[in-house]
Amino acid sequence: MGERASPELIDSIRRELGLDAPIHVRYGRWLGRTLRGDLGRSWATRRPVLESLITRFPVTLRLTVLAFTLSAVLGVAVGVTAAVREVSGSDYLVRPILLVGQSLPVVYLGLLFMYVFGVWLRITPISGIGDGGLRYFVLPAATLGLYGSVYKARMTRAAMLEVLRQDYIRTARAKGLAERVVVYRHALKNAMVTVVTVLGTGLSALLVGSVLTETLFGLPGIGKLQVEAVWARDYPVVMGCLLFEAATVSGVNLAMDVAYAWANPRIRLA
Amino acid sequence: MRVEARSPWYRLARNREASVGLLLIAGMVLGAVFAPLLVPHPPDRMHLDRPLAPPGVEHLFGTDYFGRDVLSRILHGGRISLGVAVGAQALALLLGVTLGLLAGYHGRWVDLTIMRVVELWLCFPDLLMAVGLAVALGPGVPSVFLALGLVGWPGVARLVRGEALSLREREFLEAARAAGTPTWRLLRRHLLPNCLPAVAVAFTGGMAACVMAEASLSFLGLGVQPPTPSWGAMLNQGRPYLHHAPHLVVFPGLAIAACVLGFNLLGDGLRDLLDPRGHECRSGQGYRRWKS
Repeated sequence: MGERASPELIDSIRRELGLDAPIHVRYGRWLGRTLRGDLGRSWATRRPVLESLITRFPVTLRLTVLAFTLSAVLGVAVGVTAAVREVSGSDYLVRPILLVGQSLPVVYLGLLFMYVFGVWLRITPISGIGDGGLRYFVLPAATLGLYGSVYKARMTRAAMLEVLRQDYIRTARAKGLAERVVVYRHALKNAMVTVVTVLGTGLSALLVGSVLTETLFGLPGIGKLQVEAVWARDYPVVMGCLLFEAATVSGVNLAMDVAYAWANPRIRLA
Repeated sequence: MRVEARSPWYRLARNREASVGLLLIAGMVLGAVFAPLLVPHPPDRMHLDRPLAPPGVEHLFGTDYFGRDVLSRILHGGRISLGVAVGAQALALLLGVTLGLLAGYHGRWVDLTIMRVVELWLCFPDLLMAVGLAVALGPGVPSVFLALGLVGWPGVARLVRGEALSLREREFLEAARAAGTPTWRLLRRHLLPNCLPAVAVAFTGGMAACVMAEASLSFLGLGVQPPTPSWGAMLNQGRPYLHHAPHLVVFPGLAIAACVLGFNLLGDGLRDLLDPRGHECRSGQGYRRWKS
C-alpha cells in the first residue's frame, strides 16, 4: 500500500487480514480454517496457500526421488565397502573421501558442478526449470544425492563395523559362506535398523524442500517457497509450509516404524 | 599426577587425524588474526584496471569484479566467519550448558519446563528458524551470530542435561551435597568440569556447523553484507561471475571446506579420546537438520 497510505486504508487492510484480533483469537481462526482444509491466502500474492503448495510440490518430489535414489544406493554401497575394508585394514581411500565430502557445503558442491558440467563441458543446463524436463534436474539431483550420500555412508559404515565384530559373523564365515553372503545377507541385514533411520531422516529432509539447493538452481519447489515466504514475512505461507513439513515428517516416521519391523522382526508393532 | 594430567594432550597429538585437524584450524586462526600483517593488498583496495583477473603472481587467488585481491579478502573474511562462529558457539554454550546443568541436576519441574522449551525449539527447522531470526533482526554480522547461537543452544542443553543426569547420583556429588556445598558451587565446581569433555566435542562439531551455516545464510543474502568480506558472502557474490571467473567461488569455498574439515577431524579425534565407545552423531547435534 506504500509509504503514504492513509490511516483508514491501513485500518481496513488490518481488518481484512484479521490482524485487529488478539493473537489467541487469530490462532483459533487459523486452526478452525485449517481443520476445514483451508490454509488461508498468501498476504503477498493473495493466492490460496494450499494451491501454492500443490503447484510447488511436484518439483520437490521429482528432485527428491532422483536425489534420494542416488544417495541411498551410493551411501549404503560406500558405507558397506568402507566398513569391510576397514576391518581388513585396506581402507586408504574411502574414509578420507568421506571426511572431505562431509566438509563441503552443499552450495559449494552445487557451484562446482555448475561450473564443470554447465559452463565447462556444457552438457547440462546451469539453472532454472525451463520446460520442466528431466535434464534440468540432473545437476541439482546429483548435488543433493552426493551430498546426502556422505552422511548415509558414514552411518552405514559405523553400523556395519559394529555388526562385523559379532560372533555370528565369524560363525557365518567359519561355515564357509561366500563373503558376499556374509556381508550382505548376514551383516547388512542386521545393520538395517540404523540404515533405515538414516534413509528415513534423509527422505524427510528432501521431501520438505531443499532450501539451499532449490534456491541455487532456481527450482520452484517447496524449499524455495519457504525462503521466499520468510523473506516477505508472508506468515500464512510460512504456517502452511511448517504444517506441510510436520505432516511429511510424521508420515515418513510412520513409514520408518513399519520398515523397522521388516528390518528386524524382533521389533513388534504394538 | 603430572603425567596423568598431560596425557590427553599427548594422546591427541598422537592421533593423526586430530593433529591434521588442529593444524588446519591453527593455520586458519593465525591467518585470520594476523590478516592485516599478512595480506599483500588491503582487502577493500580496488584495482579498477584489472577486474576479474585470474590467479597469478601479483594476485595469488586473482581479483574480483572491483579488482579487489581475493586472497586478502579470504584472510580478512576468516576474521568474520570464524568470529561469528566463535561468538555463536559461545552464546549456544552459555545458554545450553547453564540450562542443561540446571535441568539435569534439579530434575522435577525445572527439568520438565526446560526440556519442553528445548523440544519446542527443536520442532522448527534450523535453517528456516535462522532465516526467520536473521530477517527479523535485519541482515548483518550481529544478527548472524545471534541467530546461529539461538539455533544452537537446545542441542547443547540436551547433551549437558544427559551428562548431568548420569552424574547426579554419583558418590562424589552426594559427598559434596552432604558437606553442605551450596547448589551453584556444586554445579560449577563438581558437575560442570565432568561435563566438559562432552561439551568440547559438541563445541568442535558446532564450530563446523556454524561456519557452514554462516555460508548458508550469506548465500541466501541474509548474512554478512557487502563490502565486509566473509567466506559465505564471497561465495554468494562470486556466483554471477561463475562463467568467467570461477576463482571467485573456488577459493572461498576451499577456505570453508578446509575449516570445516579441520573442526570435523579434531572433533572425531576428541571423541575417540574421550569416549572410546564412539557415538557417531554426538557432535553438532543442535544443527542436525542443517542439511541442504
